[in-house]
Amino acid sequence: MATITLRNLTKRFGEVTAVDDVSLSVADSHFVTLLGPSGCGKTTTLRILAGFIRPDSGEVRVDGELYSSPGRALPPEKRQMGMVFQSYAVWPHLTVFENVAFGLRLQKLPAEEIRRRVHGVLDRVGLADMGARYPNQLSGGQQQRVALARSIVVEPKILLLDEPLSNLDAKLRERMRTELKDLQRALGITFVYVTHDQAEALALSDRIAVFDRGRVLQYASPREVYEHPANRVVADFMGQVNLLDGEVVERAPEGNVARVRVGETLTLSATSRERLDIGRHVAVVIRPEDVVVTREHPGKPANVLRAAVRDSVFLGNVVDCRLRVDGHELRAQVDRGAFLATGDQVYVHVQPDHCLALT
Amino acid sequence: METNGALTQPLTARGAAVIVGWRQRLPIENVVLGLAALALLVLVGYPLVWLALGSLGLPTKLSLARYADIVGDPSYRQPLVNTVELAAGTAVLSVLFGVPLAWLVARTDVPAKRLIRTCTALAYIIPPYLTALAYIILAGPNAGVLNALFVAVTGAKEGPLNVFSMPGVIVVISVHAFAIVFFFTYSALLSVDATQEEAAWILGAGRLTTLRRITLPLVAPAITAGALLAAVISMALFGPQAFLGLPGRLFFLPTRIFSLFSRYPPDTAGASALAFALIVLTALGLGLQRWYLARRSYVTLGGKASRPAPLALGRWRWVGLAYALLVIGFAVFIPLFVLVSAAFSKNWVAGLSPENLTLENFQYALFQEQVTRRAVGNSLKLAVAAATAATLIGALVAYLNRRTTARGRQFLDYLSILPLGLPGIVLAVGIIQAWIRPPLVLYGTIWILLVCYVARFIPVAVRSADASLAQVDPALEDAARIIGASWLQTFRTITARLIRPGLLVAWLLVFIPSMGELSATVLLYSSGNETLSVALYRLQELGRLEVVSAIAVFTVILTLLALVVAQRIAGKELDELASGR
Repeated sequence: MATITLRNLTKRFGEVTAVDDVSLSVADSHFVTLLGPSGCGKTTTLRILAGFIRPDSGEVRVDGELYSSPGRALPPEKRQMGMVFQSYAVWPHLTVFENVAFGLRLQKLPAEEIRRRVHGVLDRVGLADMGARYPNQLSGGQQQRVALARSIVVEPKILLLDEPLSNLDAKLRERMRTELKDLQRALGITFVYVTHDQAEALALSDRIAVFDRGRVLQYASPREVYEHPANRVVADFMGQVNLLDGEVVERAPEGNVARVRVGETLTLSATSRERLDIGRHVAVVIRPEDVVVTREHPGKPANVLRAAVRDSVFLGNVVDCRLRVDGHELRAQVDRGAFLATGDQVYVHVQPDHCLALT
Repeated sequence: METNGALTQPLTARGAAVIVGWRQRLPIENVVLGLAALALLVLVGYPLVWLALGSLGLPTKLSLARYADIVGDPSYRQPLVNTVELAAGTAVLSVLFGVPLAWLVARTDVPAKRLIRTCTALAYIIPPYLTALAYIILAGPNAGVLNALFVAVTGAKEGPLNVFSMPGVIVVISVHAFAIVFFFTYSALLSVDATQEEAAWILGAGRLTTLRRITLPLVAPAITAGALLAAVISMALFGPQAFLGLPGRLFFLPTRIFSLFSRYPPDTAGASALAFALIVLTALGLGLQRWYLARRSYVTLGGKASRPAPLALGRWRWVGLAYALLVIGFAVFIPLFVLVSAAFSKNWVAGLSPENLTLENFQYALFQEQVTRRAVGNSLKLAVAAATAATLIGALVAYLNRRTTARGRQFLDYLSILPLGLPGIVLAVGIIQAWIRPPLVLYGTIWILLVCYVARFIPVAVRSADASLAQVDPALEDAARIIGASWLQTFRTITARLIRPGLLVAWLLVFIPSMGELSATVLLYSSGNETLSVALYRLQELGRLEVVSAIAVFTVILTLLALVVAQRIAGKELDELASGR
């Protein structure tokens, strides 16, 4: 059982406000990701949670118990948390076995139990026969597993992970991602995970907190964050999007659909969260995979535009296509069966509920 | 097309001419660099050859008798045993002084960090024979200030301290050598990734457990290496060994070598053999240090190192500060204070009082007494000349090693670093044998001291120049060559300009130790060519401690001036400068 509540956390470093009034609550056994570009405050938040940093204001509670506040903070060693660092922080002067056994030895457990648990966890992370090695004899991926084993062998209530996969190559990263998810399900403990990689966040999390400049912009499920980003910053951060600046010129009689004029001549029907006033400046966000490209007119009532193909790049599973629409550039991801050549005249269609008008 | 042709035509012609010319005459760079290499061979290599020959009894007769004496003859063996004892004692004390200070400064919120760092560097830079001098005044058996104080307070017959003893020598050398351990430990602590400690912390280890189980083991190789280097340095320090050992007939290898050389007729073979014993001990220490560092270096493992927040010590920070002040007090403040007050006293035993104040000691040392007056001039001339020559040769050797593919350049590089591992007196034994006989007789002139200083301090110049050169992209030189500058022009206008600050620092880093050099000078000087250090050494033997203190204060002031300038140019903290970081 471990629920976490962050309430109005703020942390300044000199002039810079690293964490700005952050409030989050994490349910028990959830996998929560703090996502954002570097310097957005996600790591500082994690380190406050770990007890390495004290907040300037606000508080951290775990299971309702006060862990951190400006005046009082439980030291890290008393928090019963585990942490995996970006640099792994595997101790080079200790063997793999001793690295993993460290926390158990501090608990003064019997030697036999330590041996059993260390071997158990090494087996689980796939390092069964590496116990006698020193870290400098291991690859980066293996060191990462040692760090992981070391932090879960003590059976923490909460596991904190600070960009644990960022030093691995792409293929290994994907494999570790799956293993982490499996591990979290098997352990059933709360994971708080920091990353700047949105694909990682989408794949792993129960909920994602999107950070920017010290603030949480959105805290929701991966699907919600992806399909209904709270604003243009979140949309921009969640993978590649087309962002078109425009102005609301007309409203549908009901529902949250509006006509948005982009530039001089282009007008699109777009969906928004709330009813938008006429004249409101918005960003129209369209994901490349939601752009449908056809040679014939698709015969839909709204959002059908004429476009010229500027170029198309074969990416393997899809074709990435740059289109010219009324003086605007639009990216589209189309089926690899579509053979588009530069200069081709095509039709573009985007369903109004895939056109998001964000403020 | 025509313009194109017109352009290429002369270019090809010129290119051909250059290639022909290059084949025909020796290019200037080969001459210049060759001369630098030759200078290095003559200055460093030649004396070493004579050191080896001399120890075998050459040129008189070939014999290994002297080596046998080291084992058999107690007057040879005892100094060896004493030297090892001194080295071991220094290693232990240096760790006790240096490690806590390094940890306090690197990892905690102890106050006055900069003061601690600067004073540690000063402890390293002040010539240790001056510290020894201060400790004679401070803890001499009868009249020593601390002993007099003890007698006055307790009413005992005599004070408990006797600086003319093995513990005395070890303490005085350790308050100098602990700086090495400090430098090593401090930079190792800075390079330990803070997450290494946080990882232990969050697993349930307290601060102390983390320090004991993680931090200290991680920096243990650096501590050991620092202690070994401190031990090696302690063995070579002639000054304190002579000042504090000779009155009690306590001999170490350097002082025994000196005594063998200064009797008549000098026992050259015996001195050379002992010198070799000292080299072996030094090489052993340095070899062990390198091996240990290479085998167990933990730095630069894992990702980027992050700097930790300093550990809040709470009230304990004052305890830490007290300890640091105690160490730097005994290393810097108290010795300097003692020297300054003795220098301004009519009689140092009488203590500080208005009646006892005088400027006469300075007046006597700097203007009246012939030898010291001469010595000031000699020391300045020698230090300037040695710094200039060493920097020039050093820059060229560094260039040769870094920028060319000349054969044997690694050997030159090695040769240029070698004097670093040679105790001053050992080098002097080689130099005296090399330059006392034709083809070039320098013994009896001031030139032999110049030759010695250049040889002794060339490693500093080479390393400093090399570090600067490493910062200069070779493309900057290539760009000058391709638009028509000759090698010499390029070296003068581009390379030398770009590394000029580094060279100035190198110059000062040779100048400073040259001003205070004693351990080789004491063997090589001749009447009329005395240096400040020799004048001080001789007056000390005569017991004129007030005048000696005045010379000491003068030396310290010159050293500090040069240091401040070097620090300004280099833009570094004093401890960074002193430890060569």
